[in-house]
Amino acid sequence: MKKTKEEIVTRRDFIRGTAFTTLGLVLGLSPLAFSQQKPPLVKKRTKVVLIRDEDVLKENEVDKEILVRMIGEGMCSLFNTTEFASAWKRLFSPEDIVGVKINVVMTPTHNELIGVIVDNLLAAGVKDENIYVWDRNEIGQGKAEMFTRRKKMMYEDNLNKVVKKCTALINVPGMKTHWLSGVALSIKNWCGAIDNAYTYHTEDCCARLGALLKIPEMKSKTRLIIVDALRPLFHGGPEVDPKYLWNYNGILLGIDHVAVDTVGLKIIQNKRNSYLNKPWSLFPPPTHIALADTKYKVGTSDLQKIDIVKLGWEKDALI
Amino acid sequence: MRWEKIFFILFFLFSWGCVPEKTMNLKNLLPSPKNGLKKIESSKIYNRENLFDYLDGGAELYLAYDFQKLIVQKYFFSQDAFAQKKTLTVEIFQMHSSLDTYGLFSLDQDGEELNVAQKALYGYGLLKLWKDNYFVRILNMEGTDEAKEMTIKMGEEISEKIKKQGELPPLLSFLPEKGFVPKSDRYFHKITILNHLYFLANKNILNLSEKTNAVLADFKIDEQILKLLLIGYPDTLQAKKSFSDFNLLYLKKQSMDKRNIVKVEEGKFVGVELNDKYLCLVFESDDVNLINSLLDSVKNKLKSGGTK
Repeated sequence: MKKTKEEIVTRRDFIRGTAFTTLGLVLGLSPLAFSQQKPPLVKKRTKVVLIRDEDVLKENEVDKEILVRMIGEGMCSLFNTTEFASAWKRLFSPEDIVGVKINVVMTPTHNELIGVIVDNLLAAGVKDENIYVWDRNEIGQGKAEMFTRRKKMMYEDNLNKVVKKCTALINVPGMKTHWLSGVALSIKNWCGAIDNAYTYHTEDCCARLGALLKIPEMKSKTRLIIVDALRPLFHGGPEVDPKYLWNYNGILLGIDHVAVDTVGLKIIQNKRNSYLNKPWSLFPPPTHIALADTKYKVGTSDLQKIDIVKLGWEKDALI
Repeated sequence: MRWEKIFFILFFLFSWGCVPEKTMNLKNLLPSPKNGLKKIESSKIYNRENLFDYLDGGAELYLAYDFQKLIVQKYFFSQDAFAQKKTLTVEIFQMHSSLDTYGLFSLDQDGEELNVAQKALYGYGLLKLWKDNYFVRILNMEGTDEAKEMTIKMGEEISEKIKKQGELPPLLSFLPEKGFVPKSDRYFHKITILNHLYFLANKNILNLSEKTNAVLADFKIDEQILKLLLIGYPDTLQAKKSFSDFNLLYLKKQSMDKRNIVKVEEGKFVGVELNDKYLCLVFESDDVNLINSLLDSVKNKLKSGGTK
């Protein structure tokens, strides 16, 4: 392997803040850069909504009624409206074919959340047969199949045909750390839409993951990101060690993958620090989030350019 | 023809004696349904090609330790239990060697130590154990005493069915005893694992591969926690090249000596030493003397052939 100084980023670069500065700040790896930081001249800002409820989990079971309200309030805040239904109607029309990309492996998207999303789509006028809930090649058509998902579709250009068939997409990942990419949030969730995910699982901390958002279908069709942060994983992963699961009782909503993942990453990093009561940096650094911003230019990873709206339960929000 | 036969017989005998019981049917290792245990559906077996179906990107971790096969079986653990939280999941990973199986086990050694198999840990409903070339995870999401007891019984049953004891990686014998933080050793081969444990760079600047053996461990000396990384390369040439690459790309300072210690950010020092086909690196110390002392200890261990 040919190495050049330019392409190598070391731990020392993070600490000095000479590379991935915004990511270093999120991870608490750039103390030197922090002191020199100036507020950016911001033109375009992006919004991420975090909504939490103390009672949404009872003995780790989801209270669906509370979740319905959380999603409703979160959507109203994200789209500046006061009526739950109108936010969905603004995003989806009765003519749409909507793909709900969930996560089924290890820390799966909660079924209750899938149900709430499908109900809202139906209420917005989307036809039942035009709703596809899927991960990898397990596809469910309509409400009756949203949990069974036994349909299969072929792949074309490495992309599952369900993505091509849909006119609109909702990205609904779980929230977890990942041993190879640092974290697995909304950007990495698109690995479940392709059949060559191994090409993104690279030894450079999965640096190419941001390229997934350059795939025309993902770029043009994704209208909403809803991260299931009810019971995230803050160490290891994707395989679950229960001691690293915690009841955060939250949902993140946004339309910018990179911003949503930046906020999710910050919450996970802060959880790690509070767990050990000292800085516990996340390794490997999820450089794919920063690169999705700086290299692929598909969103913002700078916390200072993100408006984080916090709703509901405030205790231990970690951000 | 005669020589071919002799070669074949010798090869067969050699393989029989040295390779773990790889042919053992994984289904035979599963705990039998008794004492309130009931299998849910049939077991699923995964190989190197389809492990991604079960673990997604987590499969890469097991493949980095030369994974061979996995069996997954879910159980109810009481007759009247039908809720999700009352299930137990047993995963038995068959690896190629006991050394790599230990490596996999070593990645997270947090938990209550149990006298089961060669090493076993329990915490928050998860039992992990290592024996020979088998790594076992038994997960109950309930976390009650009853579930714990059942989980441990199942681990014991699996362990009893695995007859052989595995070896520990020989590289561990070169770790000094003084200051070693128990259960902090992590054995691995590839850069992806190192970067998960202790991020050094986004490129493979130490030339780690499946042919290199490495251990990362913590040492508490004078109230400081130092990180020691010891790497064994296939030959001196590769160790030498990696020493040079690390000096150039990480420390940014070449050295004519075999030992190089450089002050880096936040007042910390990093030390690296080339010892024949081994590279020893020490991080996270604010005292250059501690680095020298730890490097000396490892050097002596290497000279003496390690702890017997």
